[in-house]
Amino acid sequence: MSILYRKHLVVMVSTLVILLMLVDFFFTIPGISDVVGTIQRWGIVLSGFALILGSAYLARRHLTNLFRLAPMRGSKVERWYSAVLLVSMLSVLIIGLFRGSDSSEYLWMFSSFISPLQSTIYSLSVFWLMSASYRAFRVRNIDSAILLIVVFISFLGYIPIGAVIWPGFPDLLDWVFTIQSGTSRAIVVAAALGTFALCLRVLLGQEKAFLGVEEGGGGGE
Amino acid sequence: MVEAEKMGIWKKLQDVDYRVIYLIGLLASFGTTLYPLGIPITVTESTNAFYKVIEDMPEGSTIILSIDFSPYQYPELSPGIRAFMVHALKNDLKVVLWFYNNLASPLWQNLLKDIPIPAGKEYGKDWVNLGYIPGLETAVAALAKNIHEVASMDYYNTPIENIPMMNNIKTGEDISLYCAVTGSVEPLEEALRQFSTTFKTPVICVAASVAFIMVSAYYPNQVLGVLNGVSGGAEYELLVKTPWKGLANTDGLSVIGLIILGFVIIGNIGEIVIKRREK
Repeated sequence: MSILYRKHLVVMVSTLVILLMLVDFFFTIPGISDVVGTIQRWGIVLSGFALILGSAYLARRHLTNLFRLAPMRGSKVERWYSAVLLVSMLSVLIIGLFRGSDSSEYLWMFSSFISPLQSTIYSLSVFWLMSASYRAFRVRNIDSAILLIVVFISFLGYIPIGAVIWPGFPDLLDWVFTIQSGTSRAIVVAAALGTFALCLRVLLGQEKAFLGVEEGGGGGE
Repeated sequence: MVEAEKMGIWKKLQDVDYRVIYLIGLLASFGTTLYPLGIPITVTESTNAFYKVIEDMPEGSTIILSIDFSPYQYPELSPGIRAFMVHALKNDLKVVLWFYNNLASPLWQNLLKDIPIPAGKEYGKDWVNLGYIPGLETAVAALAKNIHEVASMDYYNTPIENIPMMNNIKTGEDISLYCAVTGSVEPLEEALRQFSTTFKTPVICVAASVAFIMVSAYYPNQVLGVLNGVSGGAEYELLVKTPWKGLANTDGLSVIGLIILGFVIIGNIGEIVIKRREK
């Protein structure tokens, strides 16, 4: 099958699936509803396979690192990192497969390694934030002054001691959120319109980026 | 001479070692953990609204609890989830929970040990754990269409037909409330599209503070109540009368917040003073 026909086939399948989903969303037609239900379950299964694929790709990438013959700059350290990653990955996989994800061993690995490591990395941002607020947050023009005022209101409105300092801070924060939620809504509506336009382009076979065909080139049709 | 000395202090403060700043932060967080200050907290409107939605639910109503969090969001979101479970079970509500991401499931097992399950409430009759369901919005849509077909077994591999509570809970029509626990706005938007728009299911949200900005765009019209991060969790703990880590962490939040604001003020004053003296 030529690449042109293969791409047409993908566009046709995408269009059909979108139409089915749209019809099912707005109308209750038993036959279509069953088909859509089945497609959705396929989607869930495919997502599960995507996780396996991702793990396999990661393993391949790091196995290549580990057994690379030609030495590269910094490759010795990288090899160690790859080895650590592969050993950790395999340990979690083996325990998960043979003892189950609710086993005490699996939960111990999770709460002793993954959880504290992730939490530590995230917690460090508080220290960076403190340092950055001291060194970088300077009022140099009207814009940064407004930003600073909003930061003060937001902080003092959010932290409990703000209301102790002045009870009006939480109300001021609510006011900031009212204005801000208006702008957020504008972003949400704009994004929804963009999604709608993209969906329409896929539906009409105009959008080919997801097929790997660049606009104005390659595809030509 | 005195002028130069004064400027020297500001100059020194401007160039202070970052490790000193880190140490101040560390001492503040340790200090407030070891010696809580007991700073009173005010319950915000969005937390009150969240509480009221649960309070007004008729007995026996079913709530879907969709959990999307990672270990780094656990300290921020777990107080809200824990208080929600206590509140829902106390009010005789049924909870069907599922995980939006694969890291949430072991975190839940961890949190479950800290949830004081009210007497007489038990797994399978009052709450059910469907485990991790991949697929993002596709999973939400499929759950709304037919829960039994998507999750044929629960987290503990029990067939869903053998769980008494699930006999009458099959589609989105059987769900009275959707509670999205999330560190980003997408899971909430998906719940709004697949449950709220289709079945008119009311939606509430436990959001991380970074997500609250976007989540608030939907409050109070589409999302009826929101808990804003650890602060919202603490307020809710207070309302449900189940104090835990949310309330314990608010002192640290206050002190660290004040320190950051203090640094911003000192940094700016220092720069102004140095510029003026240099002129």
